[in-house]
This record gives sequence, C-alpha cells and structure tokens, in this order.
Amino acid sequence: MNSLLYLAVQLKKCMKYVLLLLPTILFLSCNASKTDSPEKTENIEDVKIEYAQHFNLSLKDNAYFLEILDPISGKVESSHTIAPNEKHQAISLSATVVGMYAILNQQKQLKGVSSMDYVYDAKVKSLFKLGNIKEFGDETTNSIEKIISSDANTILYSGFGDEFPNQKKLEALHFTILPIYDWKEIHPLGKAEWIKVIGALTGKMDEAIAFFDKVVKEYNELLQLTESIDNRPTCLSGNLIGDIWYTPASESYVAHLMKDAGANYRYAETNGQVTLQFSIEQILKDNENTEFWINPGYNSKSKIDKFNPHIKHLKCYNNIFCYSPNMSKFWEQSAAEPHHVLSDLIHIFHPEIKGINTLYYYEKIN
Amino acid sequence: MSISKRHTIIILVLLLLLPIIALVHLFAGQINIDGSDYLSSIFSYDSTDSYQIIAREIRIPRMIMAIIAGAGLSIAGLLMQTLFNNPLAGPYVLGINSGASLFVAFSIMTGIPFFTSTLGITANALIGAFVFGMIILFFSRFLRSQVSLLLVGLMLGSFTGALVSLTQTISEADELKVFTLWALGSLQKVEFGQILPIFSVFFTGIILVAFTSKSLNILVLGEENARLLGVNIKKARLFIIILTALFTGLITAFCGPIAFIGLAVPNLVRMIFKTQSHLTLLISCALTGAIFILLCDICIQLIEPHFMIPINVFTSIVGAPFVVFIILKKLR
Amino acid sequence: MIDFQNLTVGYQSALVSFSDMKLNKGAIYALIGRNGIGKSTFLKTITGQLKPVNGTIQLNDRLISDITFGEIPKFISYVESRFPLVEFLSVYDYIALGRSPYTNLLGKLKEEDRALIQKTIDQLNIGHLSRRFTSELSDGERQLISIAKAVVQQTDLIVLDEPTAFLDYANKEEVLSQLQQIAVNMEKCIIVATHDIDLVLDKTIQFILIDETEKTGKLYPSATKNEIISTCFKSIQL
Repeated sequence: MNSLLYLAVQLKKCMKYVLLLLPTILFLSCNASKTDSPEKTENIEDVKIEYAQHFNLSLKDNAYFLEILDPISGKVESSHTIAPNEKHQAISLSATVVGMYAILNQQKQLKGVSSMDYVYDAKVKSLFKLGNIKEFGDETTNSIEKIISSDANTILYSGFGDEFPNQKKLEALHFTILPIYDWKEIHPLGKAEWIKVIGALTGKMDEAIAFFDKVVKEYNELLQLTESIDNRPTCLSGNLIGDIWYTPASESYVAHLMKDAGANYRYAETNGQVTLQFSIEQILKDNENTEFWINPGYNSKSKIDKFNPHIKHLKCYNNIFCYSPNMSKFWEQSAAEPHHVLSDLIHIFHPEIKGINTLYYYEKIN
Repeated sequence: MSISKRHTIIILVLLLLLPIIALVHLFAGQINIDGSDYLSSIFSYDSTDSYQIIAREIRIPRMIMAIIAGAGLSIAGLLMQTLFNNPLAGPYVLGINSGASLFVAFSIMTGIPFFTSTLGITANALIGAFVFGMIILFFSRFLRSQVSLLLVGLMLGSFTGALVSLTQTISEADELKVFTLWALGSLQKVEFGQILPIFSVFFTGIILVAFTSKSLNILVLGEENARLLGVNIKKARLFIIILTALFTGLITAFCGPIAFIGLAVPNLVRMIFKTQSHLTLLISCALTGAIFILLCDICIQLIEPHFMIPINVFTSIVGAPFVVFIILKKLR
Repeated sequence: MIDFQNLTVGYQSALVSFSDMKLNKGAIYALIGRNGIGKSTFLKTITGQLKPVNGTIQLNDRLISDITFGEIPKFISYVESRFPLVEFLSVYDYIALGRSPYTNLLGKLKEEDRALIQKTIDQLNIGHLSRRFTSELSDGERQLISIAKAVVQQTDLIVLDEPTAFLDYANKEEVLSQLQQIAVNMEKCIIVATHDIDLVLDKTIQFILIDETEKTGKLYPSATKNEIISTCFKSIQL
C-alpha cells in the first residue's frame, strides 16, 4: 500500500512536467487526427432521462450533451458533447457497459475490455479471438502505451470519484474518457437507463430508448405483483470479508430490489447510502429469524463455510441464493435488464406467485 | 529476594492474570452475552439461540485462538532470537510466515479439494514454514551481521509476496478470493469443534519446546562453546526450526499472518525478567504473549462499534513502535 | 593422564606433528607457537572436535576418538578466548552451564550441583560477582568466571585458548595463579595456549613448544626465554 501511495505522489509530481509538455503533445496529435472531420450532419432523436441520478443527457445543437454528475455532491463532474457522426471506438473496463454494447448489438465498436475472464457475450468473445477486441486490465493495471496504440478513442470505466489514470495525457491525445456511475444508482431502472449513454455513443439511441422503455414496462408489471403483499420475508445480503460483514445500505440498489420483490431487508431501517459494516456477532444476533440470504459472493456452501464457518447456525443458511452459476452473465446483463433480477427475487421470496416459473440469473446454493 | 524467587512471583502473577483477562475478553464484545449463556452454550447447547451460538462458536474459539496465537508466536520468536543470536529475529521478520503463506497460496491455487481443505491448508502452512525456516538457517551460516540476516528475511518476504502475486494473476477468480480472504487474518474463523485438535497440536508443541530450553541456554554462549558442552548443534537447530515451524504454521493456517508479536514479546519478557534461563523465558513468553494478544483483541472489541480493525493491523500498530525502540536500544 | 602417541594434527593434510608425550594431573602446560602454526588445530584435536591426521590421544586409558560427542564435556572442559556477548546472563547462570553435561533434559540443577557451584565460587573468590550480569564484568573477571565454569564441569583436563590475551598485567597474574592453584589443589591437568611468554616463565609451568621450521611440537619440562624463542620464533634474529 505504501508503495502505491509513493507512486501516486510521484505521479502527481510528474504531472507538472506533463502539463509543461502539453502544448507539444497537443500540436502533434492535432496533426495526426485531422482525417475524420465531420462531413454531414443528420437529425438525431431527442432524449429524456427519468430514473438515473448520476448523468444528464440532452439534445443541444444536434448533438448529445452529456453531463456526468458526481454521485456524492450531484454537481457536474465532466461534460461531453457527442456529435452524431463521431465514431466512438471504446475500451470498456466495465462489464455492465460491455453488456449494453451487446444489447445494442454494437460489439464491433468495442476495442477493448478489462479481462476476457469476465466476458459473457459470445460475439465479444469471437471478436477477441479475431483480435479486434483486446484485454487492457483494470483501472490500476492498464498500460497507457497499450491504450494509445490501440484503435480506440473512448474509455469507459466504473467511476470511483477520481480521474482515470493518465486522464490528462489521454485527453490531450483526443481520448474521450467517461466514468460510468451506473453502480452508484439506487433505482434499478436508473442503473438500466445508462444504456442511453451507450446509445448516444454508438449512434443507436432509438434502439436504446426502445429497449429501456420495454424494460421499464416489464419491471413495473412485475412490481404490481408484489405491491399488495403483506407477508414479506426478511432477507440478508453480503458476506464477511476478513472479520467484517459488508452489507448494502438501506438506500441501495440491492435494498431497492429486495423491497420491490416483496421482501423485508433486514437492515432497511438504517440510514444512508454507505455500505454497512457489521461484526459476525452482530449479524448472528440480528438474523435469528431471517429467512433468506442473497448474494453471498460464493456459489457453494463449502466455500461459504470456509470463510464464514459460523453462519451455518442461522436459519437462512438453508435459503441462500446467488447469481450463479454464471457470474459474468449476471455482471454483464443484469444492470440493463433489472426486470430479470426482479423476477428472480420475486420467485425466490414468493414462490406462490404465479406466472414466474424459472430463475434467470439466480440459483439456490447447496 | 533471590532472582529466581522474583521470577516465580512474576510468573505466578501472569498465571493469575491470564484467566482473568481471558474472562474479560469473553465479555468484551459489543453484544451482551452473560455467564449463563456461556454455561448453557457448553453444557446444554441450544443451537437455535443466537446468544449461545455467539458464545460457543465465536467468543470461546476467539479467546482460545488469541491465547494460542499469542503464546505460540512469542515462543517461536524467542526460539528464533536465541538460535540466531538476534534480538530482532522473529517468525514474521525472518519470512517464516511468508513461507507458510506461499505454500498455502500454492495449495489453494491448485484448486484440488484436499489442498483447499482445512487439513490441507494446515499441512501446507507447516511445511512452508519449515522450508523457509531451513532456508533462513542456511543463509545464517554465511552471515555475520545481525542486520544482514534480517535483510535476507525481508527479501524472502518480498520475494514470496511477489510469487504469491504472480500465482494470483494466473489463478481463477474464486481461488484468488479464497486466498485473499485467508491472508487477511482473523481470530474468529475457528469453530468450536476445531478447538480440541488445534489445542492438542499446540500443547504438544509446548511440551516439546520445554526440552529445547537446555540447548537454548547453552546456545547463548555461541556455537563452539555449545558444542564443547555437548550440544549436538545440527540436531538442536533442526529441532528448534521444526518447533518454530509448528507454531508459526499452525497459527498462520488458522489465523492468517499476525505481525510483531513474535518479535516484541520475547524482548519485553527479557527486559522484565533479565535472565537467559530459557525455561523461565519460554513460560513467561507464552503467558505474556497470550495476555498481550488478549488485550489487543479486547481493545479491538471495544472499538468495534466505531470501526473494525483486523488483529494483524492492531498488533502492528502496537508492536512496530516497540520494535523501533528495541532497535534504538540495541542495534544503533 | 593424557597420552599422545605418534600424533599429527591438521585439517585433512598434516599441519604439526608431536613427539610422544604424557601430561599429568596437577600440572599446567603452556602451549607456545607462532600464529597460524596449528595451536588451535591442536586444541581442537584434544577437545575431540577434530580427528587426528595420524596417531592417538589417550585420556585415562580411553582414546579421545572413542569418546562420544555427548560425553566429551564430562572429560574435557574448554575455555574460549573470547567471551560471549549476551545481555541478562547472570554470572551464576553462566557458571552453572558447566553442569549441563550432568543435568537432566530440562537442565535442572540438583542440590549437589548447586553445592559444587557455590564451592567453586568460594574457592575462586568470585562470590562478589555471582549476582551480577556477565555483560557488566571486566575482561579479567570474565576469564575467572569462565575458569569457574570449566571447574564445575569436573573434568580432569581443562584446555584454555589464550586466557590472558585481553588482560592487564595484574589480571594476567591473577588468572595464572588461580590456574596454578586449581591444577594443584584440584588435581587437574591444564593446557594453556598463550603468547605471554614472560608470564609463564619462572613458574612451575611446563611447556609444549612448536618448532617454527620443523612444524613439530615437543614437551619441555622447563625452558628459558631464549630456548622458547629459538624454538618457536626462529625467524627473529636475536
């Protein structure tokens, strides 16, 4: 950790020199990228954002004007103009974004992912085999030279409140760098609505809006199934990491889904959006009557037992559900398709409700 | 008052303090567990009562593991310090912990069920600790300065760290997670049913280590003197390394790495007892080490409602300044 | 008491050969020779750490090479020239280590061990030191307690490697006179490797001189300074 910190300090020092050199870099790169200048403009669809909290998207001078908002303060963190004829060749370090490219069938506009280990989409896999898509590692391990030498001009990554490594240098080289805060969205439909950002980038806004509207409709239909339910089973989430049990905040995506699925999140009464931390003792005491446990992070009881040997004394140990067997499928698709997650959870908590017969992502852990 | 009488009195005080502090430890958590919960958790266990579960499955194992870890690591530290005639030696600084970690990493990354079972991990931790003990012993033959040996230990640690990272990059996400969690360290992962086997191994080690006290006393005089007083140096060294590996491996397997205890406690004990009688030192290291970790863990439990600190972090916070103090005092 | 026959010592190849000689109890033998000539090798051979290249050493009818490793300290005690630098090692505990060849697995001292240690401390007049730490002592005091440790080992043969090397004149005399008393009163055979020629002259001390050019050692019941120098230090022009 110390060495990381040291590195960060050194990097900051280096930035000074980079800024001094910036004009040179700018000049060189301007010369290099003169080839794709706009030729013609076409009319593009207007767009409205209903659920998402962490970005604004609007039409301005026949281009999309995207504002990424800081998830904590709500202030504009960065703004980007996305012209309709601009070609965005993207490196996506976020699995959700890869999934959204797949939904819009625009995988060929992807030039890179973080690691193929986490990719589910078959077309992305075959493009990787053909060499059109490459692996770039995560936010901490990518190589700036590899990024620069790729065909990409856009980087999409899960925002963590800080700049992307070497952001200034890459921007000087005309890279568009977008932090994606879908994971900070509390409303499942807000998370899904980020597909509109991808729609803007890929020039497939019509398809993105149509897909999203369909998801909203299905989600709300499912919601009606549980709205009048009185019998709400208590549910727990998260797991131990070391000695600390991390569980979602009461105002969080998971808690929201549990509520919509007709369950009572054990820690719904707490306040705030900060992930909760408990000792195992507290968890055991609080969850004597908890019936369900979702998202334990492992797909077998033997693995759960190894690092959480005490939890087996709770009732909910017999009702564990995890988004396995295919975690990458869940990570890639679930954000854009929250109705599938909701239908899974409704089926888990309320098997008596008719109309849902199978689990889409989830599986009972044995 | 004669020296040995003074020693006896301090040891008696420690013997008295240990159960008291262990008892305090049992009642220090944020959840109110009373004596009757403990009694019924042992004599008439009701596995549906969450208080009894917490008492039997968490508090009691946590208390016993604290004692075992404190006593075992302190003894291992003393063994290393005397064997290498180096007050700053210890299983952690000399990289013996790292050996255990490396072998555990390998065993977890294989993904073979036996190697990822508790028994497999323990066996690998023991072997790893022993192999690295032998490596450091081998290097010690060529090093005259105390600091050099510590540097070699440090390098072993870094090297292993790098190897472990390398293993991690080629391993499956699941196994990586298992190892990362193991490496975080915890006194709470042991179950009630595991206490007896763990304690038996630990206790065997304690009995055996008593028989090293005589050779340790003589080894203090240096190798040539020791040999001429009839100590079979090779055998004695091997025996000492095996016991160090036993304690370090066992504790690392079940609690993960715990830093500085093995280094700090023997020095503290020597300062208090001012003796080179290793039977006295071994007994008091075991008692002081156990009390020390119990106290650390009581502090952790007390601040738990505000924020949670892993045991390894806490012992480092307390231990590291003390080690600097020893360096200032002895190795200037 | 100790019988050398046809002895050649060295590591693998021969370093020094000795004329046959017999050393007795109640006497001190000063081993004198140039640096590097093989004194330490000789001492290592007597103390059983090194096998003779040739010949035998017989101690009270037993060949030293036959005495097992663990038994050696019951027959021969050895005093190193350098004192171990250890903190918190009390003088009493240090001397008591001389009893370790006789104590049980845990090294526990019996009543008779304690009595012997106390008696030795009294005989060597070091009672005032016994409560102190060895790290606080002067070099002279350290030599005395090392000798005490050798004495409580109750061996017939005591071997000392340059016991007077780091001492001032008064301490040199003190150490030597203690050794003489021990040799006579306790019936010990004492071998002392030394460079303090003037110190060992004119005393009831016999000599084992190692010839510088011929690389041979020989027993001299008595010798003058000139004899010593002309044997051991031939290269010096007198």
